Amino acid sequence: MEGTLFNVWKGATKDGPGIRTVVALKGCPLRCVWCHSPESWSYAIEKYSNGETVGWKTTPEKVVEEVLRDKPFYDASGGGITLAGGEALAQPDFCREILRLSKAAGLHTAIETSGYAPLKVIESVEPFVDLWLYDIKLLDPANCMKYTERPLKPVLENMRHLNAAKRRIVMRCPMIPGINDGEAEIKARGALADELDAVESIDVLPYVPYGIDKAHRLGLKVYEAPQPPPEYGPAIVARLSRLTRKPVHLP
Amino acid sequence: MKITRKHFMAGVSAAVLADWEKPVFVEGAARPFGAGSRVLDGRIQRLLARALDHDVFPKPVKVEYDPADMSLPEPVRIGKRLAEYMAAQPVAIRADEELVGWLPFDGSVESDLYRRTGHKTFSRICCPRYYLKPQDRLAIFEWQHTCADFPKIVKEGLAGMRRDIAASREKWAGDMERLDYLRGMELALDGIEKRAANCVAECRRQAEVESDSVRRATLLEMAERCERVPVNPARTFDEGVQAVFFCYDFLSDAIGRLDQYLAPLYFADLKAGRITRERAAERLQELFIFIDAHTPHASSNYDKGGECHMTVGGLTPDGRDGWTDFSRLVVESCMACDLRRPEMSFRWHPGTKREVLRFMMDCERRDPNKRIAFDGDVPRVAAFAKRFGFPPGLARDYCITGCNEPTFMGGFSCGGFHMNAARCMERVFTVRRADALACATWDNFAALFAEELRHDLEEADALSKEFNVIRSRDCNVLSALFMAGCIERAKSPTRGGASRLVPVIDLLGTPNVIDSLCIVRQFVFDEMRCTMAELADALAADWKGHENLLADIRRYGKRYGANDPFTNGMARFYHTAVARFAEGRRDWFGMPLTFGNHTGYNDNAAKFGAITGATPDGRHKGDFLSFGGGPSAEHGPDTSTSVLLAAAQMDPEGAMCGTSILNISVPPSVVTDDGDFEKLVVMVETYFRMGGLHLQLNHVSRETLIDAQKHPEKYPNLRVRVSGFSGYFVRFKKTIQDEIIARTVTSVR
Repeated sequence: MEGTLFNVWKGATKDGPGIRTVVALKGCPLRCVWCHSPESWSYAIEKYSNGETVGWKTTPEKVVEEVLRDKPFYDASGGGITLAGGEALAQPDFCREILRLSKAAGLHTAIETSGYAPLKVIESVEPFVDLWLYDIKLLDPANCMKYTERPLKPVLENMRHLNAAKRRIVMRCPMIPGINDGEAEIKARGALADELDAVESIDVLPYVPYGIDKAHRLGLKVYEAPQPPPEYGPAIVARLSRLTRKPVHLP
Repeated sequence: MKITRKHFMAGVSAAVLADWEKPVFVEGAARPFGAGSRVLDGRIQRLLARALDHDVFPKPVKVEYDPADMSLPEPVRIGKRLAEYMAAQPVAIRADEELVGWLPFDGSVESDLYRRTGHKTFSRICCPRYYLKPQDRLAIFEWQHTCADFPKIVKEGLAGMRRDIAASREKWAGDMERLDYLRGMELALDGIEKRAANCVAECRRQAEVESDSVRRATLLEMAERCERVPVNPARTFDEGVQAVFFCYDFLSDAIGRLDQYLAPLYFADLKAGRITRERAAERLQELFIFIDAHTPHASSNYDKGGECHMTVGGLTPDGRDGWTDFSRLVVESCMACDLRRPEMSFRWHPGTKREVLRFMMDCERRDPNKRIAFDGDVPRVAAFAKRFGFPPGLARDYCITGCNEPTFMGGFSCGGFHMNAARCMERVFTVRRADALACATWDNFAALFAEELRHDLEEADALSKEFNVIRSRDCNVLSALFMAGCIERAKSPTRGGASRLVPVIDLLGTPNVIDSLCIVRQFVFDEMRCTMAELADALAADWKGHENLLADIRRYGKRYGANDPFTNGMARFYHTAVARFAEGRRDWFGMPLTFGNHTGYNDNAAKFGAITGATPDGRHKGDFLSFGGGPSAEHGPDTSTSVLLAAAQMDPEGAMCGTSILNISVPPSVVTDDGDFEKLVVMVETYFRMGGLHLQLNHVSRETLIDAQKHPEKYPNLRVRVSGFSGYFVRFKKTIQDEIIARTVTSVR
């Protein structure tokens, strides 16, 4: 079995507990206008304008072999592997196999997902995931379709399914000035977090303009805005904290 | 705007004054170990201000020596003149000073071996011929670092030395040369004792005319201390510090494991109610202020800090954890002073508590003067025991000097010998080009490379002997008193006297060589992206006309630091080849060879790079060489965890237990964000647990460094770690600045 990656980050400290390796799978069904990794949209291996290749094919065995090289750090810190993307669940068999092999090797596993996937895919990976880093991008259905080009409904259904199954969830909120930081959106996030017992905490992820240059080099288009000032993130954390009983963090 | 020293001093003094207002170590969730507060009292503030104003140097008095001395045997003449010089020097005790005896040497006698006044032949012959001058494009020689036997000074005093000299005289009865040497040592001891008596007299004289009763009492206490030490063993902590301060001038380099040899006195005084923690801190701070002041501000080295290094933590000789509350007091006392010296190496061992490592890393991240580096006990102790055959108790008692040169208290590191490790790779593709082209397999090429590496190591070893022969013409009796072996062997340190000697050859360009080996194997043999002839042509043309190959190497080349079996294996192949060469070999002084990879104060890696042709790792002719135990500065992998694990495993034989360093640059956010910082602590701990030897951190972004190079006036106080020492970025030569900028910032995402 083969799948496609576009990056592997070692020594990650923001994507789950401890020191982790983040494995980024290529390909995503969503088209979030603020995306910071537009090179992850296509499932195909691409080339930037300077000839640099984006993405490579590999097997789950090779991925886990690579990830296990950092095992001393996971053991010392309670870390492990985090699958990200793109949308990791968009390569379901590849994704499940990496997670299965990782669990077999004794690693803590996390998946960073938009939640946009068929329920049966969620169910197939569930036993192998210790922590769900579950993105909530927009809770207004119309805006969700407008800014991500995909509907909200399956995202919420899958999240409720994981909640019912008592899976551990960290709700992650990319905060994009002018798009999803209005009062109604923030209030809805707090309400959702309180409604779902499995949500342990909320991570606030302020917008970063890292995708602009990469999009240009691939002939794609993303939202082009300046990076919000440093006080933006803490301000959102403060607002959201007032609207939920769950802890809110800026990872 | 040109940055001048005056500008800097003005800036720092203001910062220091402002900083005194606020506590440094405060209790907090992120710093569970960081209790305590600034301990500077008014007296120490005044001493510090005076030292920073460069107003503390005692003035030497010229002495006329009897020309007839020249007929005396050399060590006797040296000892006699030393005694006369020391007896004639006035004792300066100024307001607020409680440590007595700073003795400046004027170069008229063979005195301090570290400051070169005790090594005249070296200064006269070695310096003009070798110092910073590449020999055959292969070797550059510098200087050595030392550490006096402070535990012996504190525990036995000069009386112990007298006793040892008497025993040695009996042992060498009839050997006139050695007996003359011992006589010279005794004369030097006479001079030291006379100096101590002069200190007592001056304290008493000042006490008599002192109108302030408190100061008068203090002066009388000072007189009592000088009456006791260093002639006799120290009985109290105050006496211990006075003994260290007084003897520092006789070998004014590292102060070793201060937190070990002063700890028994501190704890005994504390238990008996003779001292408080604050009072001990004050005493230590006075010591540090004067040690720092020994390097004149006018010296280009003032900012760098390597002239004095102390070691904290680590294993005790009997294998226990040496970290105590006194270690913490030593570190806190030092951190609270805005000084460059002493630099500090923290020794980690598997029994080191995480909270202690966190405390040291917390001090490191908040120290604007960048004085702290980290060392791993496991590989060093094993190497000293295995390669040097030292008993475990001694191997565990190593200390760090200068720019991370390891040695022992009472020992010296014959480091400062840098070898161009890339020259052998260049020779493979030039002198041995036909043989390289004839290599049908990787194994053939590896054998050819190993042959050339051996050739260069042989030549470098021969050059070092030539250098050391000249160095061994010197006779020193003063520093020798404080170095293990010299009394027992009745010989000058570099004539076979010193027994705790660590010779080190620093292999500069090691990352370039390992990467080059990786590229040759990958591109020529495994993936057949090019032929050996194409690669050799590209190197001969400095890549001109071969830009596509160069681009492919830079884009797809496998490089050391990625922590994969291929590149790790190549690093081990290289270091094992070095270890094989060293097997059974001894340097001129009869000690086993060991290796390192640091460049020291000078831009030796750039100097070698400027005279070395292109290398297969994609380096152009003339570009600087990378140094240290990490990946290549320009093209190395960018993940901290990979680099740390690769470095921890690169040297299975322990050949690099000399002056090896590992520079890690992390984004500033990693140390400002407490959550990320906590994970960095775990990363560093894991690195040492896996066998890491050394680590020093920079946490300045590349953008900041580039901006500082363009606009130095904006960054007068930006300090960075370079190669076992630290300094002001904007004042380094451009070659050193470029190397620091090029270092890959490893991500902690």
